[in-house]
Amino acid sequence: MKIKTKIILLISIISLLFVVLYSGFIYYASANYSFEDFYKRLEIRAVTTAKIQLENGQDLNAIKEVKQEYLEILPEEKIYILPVPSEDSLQAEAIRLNIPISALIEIKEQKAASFRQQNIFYSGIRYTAGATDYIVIVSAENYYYTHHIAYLRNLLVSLLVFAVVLVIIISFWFSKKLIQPLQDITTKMEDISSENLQMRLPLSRNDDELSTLSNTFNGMLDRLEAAFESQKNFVSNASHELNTPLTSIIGEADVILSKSRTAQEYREAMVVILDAAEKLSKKTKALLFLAQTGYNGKVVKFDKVRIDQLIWDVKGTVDKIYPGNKVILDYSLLPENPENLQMLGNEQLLHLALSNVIMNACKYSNDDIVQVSLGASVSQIIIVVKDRGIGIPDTEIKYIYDPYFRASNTNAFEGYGIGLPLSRNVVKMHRGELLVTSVLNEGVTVEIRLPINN
Amino acid sequence: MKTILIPTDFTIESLNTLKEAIKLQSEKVNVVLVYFAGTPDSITEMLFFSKENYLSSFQSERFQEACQILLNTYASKVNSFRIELFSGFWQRVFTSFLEINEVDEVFIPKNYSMKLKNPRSFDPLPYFRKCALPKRSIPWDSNVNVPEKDRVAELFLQISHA
Repeated sequence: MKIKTKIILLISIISLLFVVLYSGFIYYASANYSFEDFYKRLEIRAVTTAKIQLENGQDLNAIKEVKQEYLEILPEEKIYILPVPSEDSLQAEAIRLNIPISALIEIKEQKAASFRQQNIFYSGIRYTAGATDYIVIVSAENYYYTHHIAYLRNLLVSLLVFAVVLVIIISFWFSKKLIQPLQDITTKMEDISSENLQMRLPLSRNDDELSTLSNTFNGMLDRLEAAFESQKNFVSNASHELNTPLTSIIGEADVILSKSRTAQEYREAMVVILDAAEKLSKKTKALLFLAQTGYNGKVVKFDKVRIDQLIWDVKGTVDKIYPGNKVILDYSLLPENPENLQMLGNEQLLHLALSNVIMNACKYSNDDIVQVSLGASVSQIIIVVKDRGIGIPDTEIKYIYDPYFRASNTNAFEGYGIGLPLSRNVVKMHRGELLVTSVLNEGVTVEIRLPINN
Repeated sequence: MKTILIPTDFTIESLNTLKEAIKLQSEKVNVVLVYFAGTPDSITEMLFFSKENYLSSFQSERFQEACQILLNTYASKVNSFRIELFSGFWQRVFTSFLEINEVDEVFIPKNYSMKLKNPRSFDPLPYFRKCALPKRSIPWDSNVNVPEKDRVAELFLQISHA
């Protein structure tokens, strides 16, 4: 069963149960009250009539007056007065008066009884006047019972029908409202595939369970995206970084083999080939190192990372891949307290992110000077990477985080537009920020901010 | 302990004076930044005037962050750090301001002109140049056309000749 139907059923059943219970109780209590009340009225009539009929004294007139004045005649009111019958004549009397014999016996023994036959209500008392005992029975139709209770019953039933309709409508609306955000999330999730992993679920403003769910999904997407991209990044890096030394090896070998050479020439060629192969080996190792994204276990492990150490490591990696780079590490604004350089993070991922940024800086400035500075404020570690490269056109700077986007002035450089979005994702995963500012043909400054662990 | 006074306009570039001034210190100092601006003159503003709020209304988060970075870097050299407001228009008032704050030395930028973004603010440099205390000027290349203009990154990348 769908959750929606479940909610509708549950709400309807609970509310209807309440309505039925309430109306049942009201109906029962009102009927009961109208019975009691009517029997009392009949009893008063029985007592007054007995007094008037069976006794004689001065105050009789007063009672008569009161009776005429205040006790209205009930519909179908009948009064029976008879001396208490003997055991034998009870049966005959009961038939004559058309009342059950048990009632007569009860009046005789208990001195009072009330009972009813359909709509006719009876109240009888045993009255002693002088030496003789009488039985006085008053009967009348209970108008309140026949009419008012019927009206109340109709009212309650129609109310019940109305309540059913209302409850169903409300529960329908309610379940729809409850389910709606879930459905929204489902629709959005269906749109996200490996092709557009950069899409995220929208976050609602209030901090409820559903926005926690969306947040969790988004976090998962961040990690997935980073994993996917790091693989793509490896392929993209490998395809053009490995090509250069390979081409030089093949070219050198081709030339040297085209005709017979002296031993000296062979030796020189072999030195060139060995050099290129060594470079190739270093690059492959470095690239493979970057391709390990820290996802080898099933979860991303966050440990304490010293950022200054990390930058040294990154420089080592960059040196292997771009042997001719001019990266300058500037630690002049390093905080005195080393704790300010520590953060919780995944070293592999941060290494990947930072090396991407620095390698981009080297690449797009044709191995010009790249300045990498490090500092820390109270809550954030700030890494600044500045190059003197080609820069990014102003109109395109807002697209640089889109995967596969490449600025219009990058045709001379190989690349797939994967590195920067990947770096930004990694920084985002660490609750940091990556800001890029640029002046065309002057260079790009990348500011990476990471939260300090404390 | 020495107290040094440095003018500021709450831009990150102006913090270069601070950076170089602290670098030149050999022992612990008290650092006072001063912002030159007139106080508000409408009656409601005067009624609820607070120097701290008034000063922090001009400071961007980036500026505060840049200050924190500098204080982190030179934590052992800076004994205390505060930002003061100067709103007297006369040189005499400035002289007594220096006395009250027990300033021993002032640092001013050599070829940087203060950005007076707030209509009430005024240029502190003439007052500094006229004061009798020892003063040093800090030169640096002011380059408007850099990508990191007005970013925290600017603090890292400014090259000074001091």
